[in-house]
Amino acid sequence: MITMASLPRQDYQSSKLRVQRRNQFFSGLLTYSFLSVMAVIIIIPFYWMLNVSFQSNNEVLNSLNVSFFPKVFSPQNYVNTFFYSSSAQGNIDFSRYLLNTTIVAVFSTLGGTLFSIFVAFSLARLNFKGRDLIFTMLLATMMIPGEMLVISNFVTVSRLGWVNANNEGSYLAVIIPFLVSIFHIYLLRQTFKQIPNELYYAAKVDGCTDFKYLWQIMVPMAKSSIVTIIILRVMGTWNAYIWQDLVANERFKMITTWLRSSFVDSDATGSGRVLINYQMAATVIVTVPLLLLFFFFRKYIMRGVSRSGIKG
Amino acid sequence: MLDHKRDLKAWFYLAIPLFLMSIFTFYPLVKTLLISVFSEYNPLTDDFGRYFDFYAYLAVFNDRFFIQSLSNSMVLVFVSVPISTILALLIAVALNSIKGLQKIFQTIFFLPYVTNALAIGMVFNVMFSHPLVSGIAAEGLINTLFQTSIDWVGPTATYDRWMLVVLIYSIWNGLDFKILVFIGGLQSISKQYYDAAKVDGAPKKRVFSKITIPLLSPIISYILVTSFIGAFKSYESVLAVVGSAGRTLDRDRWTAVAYIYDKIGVAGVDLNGISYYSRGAASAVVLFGIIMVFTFVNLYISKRTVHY
Amino acid sequence: MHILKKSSSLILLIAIGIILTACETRTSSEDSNQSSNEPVIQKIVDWHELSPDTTFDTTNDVSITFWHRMGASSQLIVQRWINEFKVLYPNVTVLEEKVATDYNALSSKVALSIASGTEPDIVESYPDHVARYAQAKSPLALNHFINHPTLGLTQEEVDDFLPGLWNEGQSYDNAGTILSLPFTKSSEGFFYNKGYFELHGYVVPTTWDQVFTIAEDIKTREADAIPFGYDSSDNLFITASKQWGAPYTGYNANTGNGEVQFNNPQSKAMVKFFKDKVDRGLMITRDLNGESFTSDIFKTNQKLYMYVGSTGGTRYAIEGMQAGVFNSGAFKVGVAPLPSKDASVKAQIQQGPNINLLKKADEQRMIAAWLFAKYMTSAENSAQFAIPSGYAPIRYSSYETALWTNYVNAIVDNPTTISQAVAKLVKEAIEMFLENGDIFFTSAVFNLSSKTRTEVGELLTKILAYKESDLDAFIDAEYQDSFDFIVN
Repeated sequence: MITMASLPRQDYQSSKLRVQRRNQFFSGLLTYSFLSVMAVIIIIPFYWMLNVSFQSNNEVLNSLNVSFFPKVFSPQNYVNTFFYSSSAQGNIDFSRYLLNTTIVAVFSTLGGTLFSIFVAFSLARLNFKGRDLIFTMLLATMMIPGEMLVISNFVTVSRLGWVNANNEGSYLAVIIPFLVSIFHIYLLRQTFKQIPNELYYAAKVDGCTDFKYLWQIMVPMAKSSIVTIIILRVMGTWNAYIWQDLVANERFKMITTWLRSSFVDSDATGSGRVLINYQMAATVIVTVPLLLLFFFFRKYIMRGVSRSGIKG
Repeated sequence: MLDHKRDLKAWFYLAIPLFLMSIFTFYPLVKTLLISVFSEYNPLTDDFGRYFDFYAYLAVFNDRFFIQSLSNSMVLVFVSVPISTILALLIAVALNSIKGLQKIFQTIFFLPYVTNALAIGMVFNVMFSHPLVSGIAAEGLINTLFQTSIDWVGPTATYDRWMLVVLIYSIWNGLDFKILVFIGGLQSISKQYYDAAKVDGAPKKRVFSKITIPLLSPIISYILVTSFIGAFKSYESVLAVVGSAGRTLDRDRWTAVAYIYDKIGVAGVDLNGISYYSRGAASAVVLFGIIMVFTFVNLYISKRTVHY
Repeated sequence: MHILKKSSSLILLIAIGIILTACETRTSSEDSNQSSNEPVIQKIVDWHELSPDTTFDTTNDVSITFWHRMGASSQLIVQRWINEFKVLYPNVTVLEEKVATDYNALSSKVALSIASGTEPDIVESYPDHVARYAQAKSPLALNHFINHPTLGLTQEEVDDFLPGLWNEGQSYDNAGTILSLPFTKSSEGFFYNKGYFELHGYVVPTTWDQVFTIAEDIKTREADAIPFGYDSSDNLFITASKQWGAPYTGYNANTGNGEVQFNNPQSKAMVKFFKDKVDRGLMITRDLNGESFTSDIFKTNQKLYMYVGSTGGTRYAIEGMQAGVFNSGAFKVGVAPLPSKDASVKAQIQQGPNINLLKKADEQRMIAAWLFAKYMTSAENSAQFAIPSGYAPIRYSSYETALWTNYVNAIVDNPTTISQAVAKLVKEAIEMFLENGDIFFTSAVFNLSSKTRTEVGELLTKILAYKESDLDAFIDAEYQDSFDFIVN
């Protein structure tokens, strides 16, 4: 019987190569099919957002059935969202909400990421008494549902005079309570722990301080996790609704407020129906630039990471 | 001497964050614990009342709605988290391994992250809606596609159907965060390992199980621990499935957190004189205890299996 | 492991604590068993003793805040009032603030502000919210303010308020404590396809039996019609309970506290009445219609020809109608009061926020707030506020103001455009509201009242949608379960 192994060497090599290539092809096909199926499933809500954003007012308010495609294609919704004299919002306009959200996002991300780096560093790299206790305590704080903290934090923030403050106090009220996030710290700690001890000892021998080691070696090596944290923070700010609605003054509220409370069909009375087509158009306007921003941001960093590694 | 120096240094790094945490997280947590043992607490006056006892806990353990809500949360945790994690891992590895079309796929998988939660809730509503009286409003997508007339999430839906939809939603909803984190983790695995494996001619499956998984294990452990904790706290996601304005969650579909929020939202005392807020606090502490136990189990397993 | 030991010992400690307290008897905070047969009268908050010879000091500056959630156009009206009020009382500065976009958020914020000591003076509120604020004894009882010889309202003025609306202000306990003044009110209306009615010689029904006789007749003509719709399940349950004489909620005779009472046979009989109609395809609710408003179907001039909906949403009876269906006014809509079980016992709910005052340490501040509240609820101002938004003014003499008469005179009797038709219908709805100002009722307000309301809506929907055969057993089980759940 002729088996592959009994073939002359050259044929054997090329057959093996062919088999290998065929396997690669099928596994590649499998991968792509899998990803495509998942992608289609995942993209449905985004598609729906677009679908609704192009529907006409009539369809949104009066249609008895849902449809996959707008009955009357209405791109003017996008223009109208900016000028929609939302009777619910008075004289605060979209650009103000955008400004507020940007300010909060910037400071929350900068401060939060910095704290995450510091705390994760001490938990992962440094040895001190009570380290495990602190880590456990921090982990424990994740186990309480958020609403339990609201009353206490509200009273605290109120005593600081930040609630409904018609000045930067509103920003502080929104940013400060959530500056330290154990979710992010934990992630970064895991990543930091993957950096080999030998590197640290070698650096110490060379006379490197902890601080220098952190910023010149650990942070660059953990770039992808840090980028992840930054993305999480920015998205978190963008989607934040409940707390900022509670504590911030009208003029300092963020974009989610604009999204949820504008575009109400009738005046003030509470029985108005929401024009979800405008709402979705507004959401698309707000999120697409974000998408583009992060897409480019990520690509840049990923190129950097794959080139780094343990050198010498 | 070196150790002593390091001691102080650590506290320097920790000082401000710990200070903030103690005001905004530890303090409220401790307060919740205290409230749970003062069964006449009044949230509007911040008055702890006259009674220091465990009646709030008694009320919680005697409450069949709490037990039911706990079991709902457990189902969510033990089914949706493993499935969601495995799926996210596969997607992340697949995404990382393809060369062509990588940009497009990456963008697509990032989309749910920027999709508004309202839109997602709307989609589910449209997909699973079902008019209770036929003849006027149309059936939702799923019913139309499969030519059925089942109530999935409405008042007459059976528990199993309801749970199925909620599980699908939870798995789906949890994917974006996990994929994001896994991709970040995969990116930081040095290419050297993969190159070495290639030279050795190792098959893909082997690479996956002997290189990728172990090197990713700290991240996987992180995802599992945080997802378990997060799933125990499920509330908004379950609410989103119910859909439109004003509809509340049916009582036997409550998650533990839904129960807690309901209790702390009612003012005053119940028929036994126990403050609803205290009951809510007590149930939060019980949930906390349960999550703590499972987290320790998780961490213990991690100690054995995670490679740094 | 070390930590595991610590936490298990903690759990053990708690368990011991629970077992110990289980053996304790709890001293009751109220005397629940009274030997006397006198019903307990319990004030929800103490009435502020405003001395009859107190005057308002117009020399010292006073500043008060008013929190609400109105839209921009309503807010403009309030700002105008503030300026006018400043002319009347130059020492009073009123700050109005929109602090939320929906009532739940508003209520949460006020509750939080009470907890942190920064609460406002006047709040736009629903009775349930006020019951909540009362947990901190924060709402201001207005009784002595209203009865005050110089600063209060005359009997004539009190009578000028629509009685059903005024009574809501006293529904917080059984002692007559007045905690709120009506502000933006609406009710439900019975909307019907007038053209269709005229075509088939139907008379506007006043009882449910009449409604369903008409519905049955329509069904013989149009087999797949569902002729009658009732949007709000909870309103249906509560209103019909009142009409059937079935207890819903009330004040306990022994303790004076509010309690849940709907678990009774009359209530079940009432529900079975409507269940029968739904089963025969004569009726639908919004919950049964996949959350779509019944007016959506009404506007197609097919299948549904009568519905009960909020008068605040009157415009939706016509607005959004296809031009071909509207047919330049051939489609006509009429509005009538809610049908009842017996023509003699009429009852209808009223909805919409009130304004209530909160206690402050400074009496002058409370007086200033009271004066502004009085100003906002004057006949003229009520008309100004209500009419543009399609809600009903809260005082009889509002309907004698120039504003109202001008509005009425501008109505076209035979509308040919949709906006004319809407204006006409809105006016009719408001008139209907006015004429029935005395049949509005309110339910007891206590810490479980909003939960009860939501639950009975769900209960009704479940029963109406039930398709199996053992209906009675199901109803009994569901009622019990709902009741247990609420009072749990």
